[in-house]
Amino acid sequence: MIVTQDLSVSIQQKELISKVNFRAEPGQLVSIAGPNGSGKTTLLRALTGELAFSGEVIFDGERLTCVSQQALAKRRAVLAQSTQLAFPFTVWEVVQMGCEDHHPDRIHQALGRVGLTGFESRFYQALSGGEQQRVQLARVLVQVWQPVSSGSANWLILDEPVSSLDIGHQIEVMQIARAYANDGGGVICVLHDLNLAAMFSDTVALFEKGRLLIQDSPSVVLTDEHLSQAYQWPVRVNQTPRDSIPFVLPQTARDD
Amino acid sequence: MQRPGDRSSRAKLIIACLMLALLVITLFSLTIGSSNTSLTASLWALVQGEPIGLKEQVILLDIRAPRTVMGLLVGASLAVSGAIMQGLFRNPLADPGLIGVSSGAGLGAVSAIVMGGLLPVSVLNIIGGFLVPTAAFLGGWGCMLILYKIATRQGRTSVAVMLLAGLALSAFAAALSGLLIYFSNDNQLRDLTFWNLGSLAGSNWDSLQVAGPIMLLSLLLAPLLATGLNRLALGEAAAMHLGVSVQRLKRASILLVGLCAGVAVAVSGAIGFVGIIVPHLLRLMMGPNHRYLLPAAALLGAIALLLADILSRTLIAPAELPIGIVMAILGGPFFLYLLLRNRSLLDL
Repeated sequence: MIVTQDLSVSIQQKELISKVNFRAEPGQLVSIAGPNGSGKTTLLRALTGELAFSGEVIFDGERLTCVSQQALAKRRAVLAQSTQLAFPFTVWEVVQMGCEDHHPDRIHQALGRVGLTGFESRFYQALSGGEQQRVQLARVLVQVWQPVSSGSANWLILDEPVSSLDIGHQIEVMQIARAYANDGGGVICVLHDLNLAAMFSDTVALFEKGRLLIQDSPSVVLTDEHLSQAYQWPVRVNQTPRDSIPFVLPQTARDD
Repeated sequence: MQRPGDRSSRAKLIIACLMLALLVITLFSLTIGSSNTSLTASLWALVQGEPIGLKEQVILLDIRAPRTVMGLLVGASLAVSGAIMQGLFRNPLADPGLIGVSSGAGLGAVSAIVMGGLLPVSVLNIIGGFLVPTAAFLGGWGCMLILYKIATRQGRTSVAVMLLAGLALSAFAAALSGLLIYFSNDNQLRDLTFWNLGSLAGSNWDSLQVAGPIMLLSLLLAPLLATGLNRLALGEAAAMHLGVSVQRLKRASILLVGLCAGVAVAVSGAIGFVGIIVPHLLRLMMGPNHRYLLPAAALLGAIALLLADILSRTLIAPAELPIGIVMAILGGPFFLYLLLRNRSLLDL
């Protein structure tokens, strides 16, 4: 379980998130949503130990600041919004960076799962943004290949994993994340697309101006009232007819 | 088994070929030179334990052998330092100069040449021939330490600050050197010019005894940085998430480069190009994986330097061209050729 207690992050005297109490449980997919600059990525970077913070982050019962990066790397993998690679590595070589020891089968399987079989010898820099993002996802997957190892859950922490993908690949990537959670792993995922959040998550954490407005199941969080407040824009939430999943529709600006 | 996209078997093959080539070029370096005696037969006799003539023995063992070993280590050190710096700065044009080693060493050498005469005679008698290399090494090492201190705050070293502060510090060191040069006399000016052009001519067993172990140790430690440097190619945050202690990697890289490039520059003067061209060529041939790039750079760096040294002492024999000139004359056009041939890969 990953829990934060009154987590605050300040950079150059500006408080980016303030007193956030967030929780993510193994076996669940937790989405983080909210407008630009509301603190989603800041929370993620605090959870991964990238940013200094006040308050507490508890990672599987241990204070995050007491766990070494090497130990953390075995338990959780992090996908950034985009990754600039310094030298011309091939797709195979990039994915290989994820595994400490050499696991050719895993690399093949991971590339297959993100739909990039046959891309092994292409240069990373020659790929499209969406393809690069999926290569990075494959690298992240081989890093924490087993959703559960020695009795405790491993974690995928994904920052906007679908932002540069077409809808087919968006669903494919969300299904990979969902399957990881179903197999006992934990997934924390920043999503801009509230409909994907509604479809795939167990809980949604909605941020507004550096505060965690609410964290609960999608049907509780995704309401006209919460979303209109967080996004400062009139939003209507309806339900899909067959399985009553909330779907979100921003209202157009009209003068009448 | 060859897997698509996995260039490791190719890299291993290239490393094996480089080892062979280094062996051959080492033999050439021992037997070719301005002396017109055939040394191949003497070398063969020496290997078999048979006695050889005194002249051959002096040339082989006291002149060529230390020079060859020194060239080998200097070339390997410069190329490996370049590869590490490029990995650390995530830029194929980085070199040890960025961490102040070259300008600091330059200042040290100039100070020793211009002001060495002011030292008491008793001190000069002891350190005599070591004065310039020692000062150069201390200058490079000191400059690197100052830069590291400036760029490190709250336990984190900023590569960007290091780069910018390095420019400022290099300019300052160059200005101080310029000031000293302005006040130097004609003889000192000549020494300075030759130091700047680079040479292995001063190599002997004494200097090798001091410089050799430092370079050798650094070269042996360098492969420990490989995994970290590979992951750093993804960016500092991603490397950290993969379990790399980024700060420890930076510190180790900078100290290691300061040490082995510092010593290499101190004993051979300013020899450019090896540090940039060798890793670049290898990346084109076998990819940027530092696990193979670092050992291959050591081998190819040694080969390149020995080749340049052989040319430097045979082209206008019995006189000698400074090796820095030979390296730049060969290296410049070759580098351009590489750039033009591989444009598509560079624009990626």
